[in-house]
Amino acid sequence: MNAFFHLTKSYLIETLRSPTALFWSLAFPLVFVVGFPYLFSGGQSERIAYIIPGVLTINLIAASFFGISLNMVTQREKGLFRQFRVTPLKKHTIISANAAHAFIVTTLSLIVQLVVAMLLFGIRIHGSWTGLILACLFGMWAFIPLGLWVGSTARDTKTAPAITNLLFFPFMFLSGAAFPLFLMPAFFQKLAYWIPATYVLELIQGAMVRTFSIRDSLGAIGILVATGAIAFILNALFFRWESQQKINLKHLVLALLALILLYGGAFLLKPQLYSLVQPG
Amino acid sequence: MTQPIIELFNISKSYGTFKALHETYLNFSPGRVYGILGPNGAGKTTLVEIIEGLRMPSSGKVRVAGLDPFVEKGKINAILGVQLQDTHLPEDLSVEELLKLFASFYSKSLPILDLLVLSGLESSRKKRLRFLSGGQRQRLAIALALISDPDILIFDEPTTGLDPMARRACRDLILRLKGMGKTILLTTHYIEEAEQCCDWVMIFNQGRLEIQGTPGDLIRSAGHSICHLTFGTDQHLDLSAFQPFDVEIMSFKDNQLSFRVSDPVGTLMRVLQLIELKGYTLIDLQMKKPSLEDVYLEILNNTQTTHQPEEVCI
Repeated sequence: MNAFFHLTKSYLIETLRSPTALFWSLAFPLVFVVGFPYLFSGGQSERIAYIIPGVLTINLIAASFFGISLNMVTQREKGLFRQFRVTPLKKHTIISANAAHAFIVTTLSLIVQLVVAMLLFGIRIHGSWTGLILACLFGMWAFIPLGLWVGSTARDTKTAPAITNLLFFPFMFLSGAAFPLFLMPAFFQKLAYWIPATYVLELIQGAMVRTFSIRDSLGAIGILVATGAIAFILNALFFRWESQQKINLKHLVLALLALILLYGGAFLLKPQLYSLVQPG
Repeated sequence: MTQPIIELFNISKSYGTFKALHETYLNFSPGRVYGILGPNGAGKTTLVEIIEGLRMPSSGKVRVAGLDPFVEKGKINAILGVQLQDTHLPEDLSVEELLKLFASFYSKSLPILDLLVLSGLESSRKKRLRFLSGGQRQRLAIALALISDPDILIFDEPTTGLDPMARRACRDLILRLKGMGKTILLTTHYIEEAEQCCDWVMIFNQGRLEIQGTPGDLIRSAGHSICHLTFGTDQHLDLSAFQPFDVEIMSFKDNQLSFRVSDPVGTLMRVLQLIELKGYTLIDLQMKKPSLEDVYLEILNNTQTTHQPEEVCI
């Protein structure tokens, strides 16, 4: 516990002392918070209220995939994990500390984005604050370990951005975060059930623009909780101290199978997605 | 006889068809400082990384304090202090913050202040890593290895790339640790460092242990002295005249003749008689026992001709 606390604190100190890290994690997401409403709302406040949950979802997955996964690969490639390997530090402590650091930075970033959106566009929370907090927590629970997993799986800093882009862009466009789901063709609406980001958007949108109810959101919550749990297990299986260590292909097949089963189940059960319905 | 604290039985390591370390048996006794010498690619780092449990050997077994580093890695990490050849740490943390971070990994640790004093970093405790000099970084790496007060320390080229002052500071630190009775495995390219710090020296070349012993033993085993004769200018020296004597001419440059001789007194008398007979002007005569560096270079030269270098297949 002592090691976990100190390692998390060290990661935070490093972030706070790095202007580049602060810019990318706190300032850069504001470009989307400000830019998207100006570009796509046509000045209508109802549209802005609908766009901001999408922007928060995009920034949450961007933080997980671009920030966390690349940070993980960089630490391994630079030899920091190798340095840790000759001490009694356990891999689950490293994974947990990276997750805790990402959780704190992403939370701060989401708060800043929300405050800017409220001040600039007069955004109000129509559902509930508790719902919004829960939505962000479940989103981070699912996406932070997914980002860490990408970081553990990618061989180096050259392959990590490729994997990240491969996941990020489909997540952004097919979840409805960048473009409303109800305007998409039926095929893409069906595809949305296979995308983890869809359920984050569903929860954040629910809390911000509709009446949030836990009962209505149970499907999305369940899928995100299961995604996070599977992703944490995958991190334990895939963690590598050094880039030269090979990935166990059996583990990779099992990982993909577990995620296919989960999202295949979601596709078959089709939990309620309000983001598929055009707002009145 | 003392029980060895580290034992290597028939250890070898191959990367594809390239053999980085040939079958090696070694014992390390507690409380001694071992120097592991050899040129780049000799297998020094492979050897220490097998002991650290970072590199799985292709054959053989290792025991560190009776433990298998590949089965009981956690226990091994608690009793070993390791300074890796390339130390990578978060650049924006201060010396003190890094020491506290690493101390939190162990169940027991030395007081941070003691570590700062021991490594000579008290005045740099608040400095961030990115602002430290190369020498300070290496001393910090050693301080991190010392954090749990381990009995066994492995330093992999701690002084490589440092200026002479920084090298001396590092060497003094190793000597202080030696005085504390630690078992130290030190890989280095600096022969004088091994001569000053180590009780026992092992010379590796092309993955093979060529020779081992105390520095004194290795020098004595060379069994010869080196003579340097400096002649006056414009002397036309007939080197073939020296051939009948038991000498091995090393060089003749800038009027200085250097040769190895196994019977220094007898041979030198005859060489001086020859010089008088030929009418050469002798300006200076120096005779010295070979240094460990001479022994090292001789071994490398000898083995270079006996072992054909293997091709690396990637």
